[in-house]
Amino acid sequence: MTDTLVAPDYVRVKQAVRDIHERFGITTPPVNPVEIARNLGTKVLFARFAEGFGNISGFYDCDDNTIYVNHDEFPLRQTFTVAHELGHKVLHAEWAKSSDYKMLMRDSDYSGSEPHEKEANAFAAHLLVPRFLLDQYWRGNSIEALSRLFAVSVPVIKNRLSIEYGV
Amino acid sequence: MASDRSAAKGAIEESSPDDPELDAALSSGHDLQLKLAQEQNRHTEAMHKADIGFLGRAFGGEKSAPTYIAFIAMVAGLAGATFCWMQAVGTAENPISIETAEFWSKQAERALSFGAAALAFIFGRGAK
Repeated sequence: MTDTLVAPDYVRVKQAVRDIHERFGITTPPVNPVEIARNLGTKVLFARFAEGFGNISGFYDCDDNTIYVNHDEFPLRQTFTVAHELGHKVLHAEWAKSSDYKMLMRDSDYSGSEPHEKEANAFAAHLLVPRFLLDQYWRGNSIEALSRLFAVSVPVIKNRLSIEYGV
Repeated sequence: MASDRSAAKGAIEESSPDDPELDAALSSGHDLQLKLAQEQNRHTEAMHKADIGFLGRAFGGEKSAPTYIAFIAMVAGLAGATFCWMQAVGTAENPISIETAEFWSKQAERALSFGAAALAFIFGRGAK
C-alpha cells in the first residue's frame, strides 16, 4: 500500500502521531524522539562518519531496525532527524527497505516533494511540536524560546507556527 | 540508494547510544518548561489572591469557605446552646422561675439544632 503512495496522507500521519502521544502519555514539551523510538523497539545510534559521508543527517536501516544519526549534527536538528526516520519506520516500513528510500542529508531543507518524505516530515513535525502543546505555549514566547522548549530548530518552529496559526 | 545506505553504514567510524549534547538540549527544554509552569502557577496564585478579596482571605476560596462558615456556625450553635442551658438552670443564690427556665430551654434546643445542622453540612461535604 505504501509502495504506491502518490500523495501524502496527512490524516493517517496525524493519527499515527496521536496514537504515540497517547501511548507514551506526552503532556509537556520537549518530546524525546530517541526515547520513543527505543520504546517502540528501534535502536538509535549516534554515529561518526568517515570523510565524504559527513553530509549525512541520518538514516533508518531496516536490516538491524536502527536509526543512525550523525553525531556531529546540531542537537536541535538531531531530534527532527530521529523523528523523521521514526516516521519512515512507523509509516513506511516496507517502502523503507526499497531502493526508493533516501537518506536524510544535512543540507536538506525538508521541502522535498516525494510523498513518503513529506509524510515523514509531517510525522516528525507533529510528533515533536504537537498542536495541543503549541496551543499552550506559542503566545507570549519568542520563536527562540519555543525552539529551546520543544528542542527543535527555529525553522521547524516557524514552519509549525505558519501551518497551525498562519503566522 | 540502498547501496548508499550500505556505504554509509560502512563509513561509520564509531557509534554511541548517547549524545551528551542532545541530552543537554532536551534537559534545557525541560528546565524551560518547568520555569514556565512555575511562572504560570505564580500568576494563577496571584490572580486567585486578587479574586478572593478580604472575605475570601478570612474564609478561604469558594471550595473551602462553606465548610469554614459551617464550622463557625456549629461552634456558635453549641456555644449558644451551652449558654442557654446555663441560663435555664440558675443557681441556689439566684433561682429562676419555671417560665424563664422553659424559655431558655427552648432557646437551647434551637441553638443545638442549628449547631447540629451545621455539623451535618460539614460531614455531608466531607462524604462527597
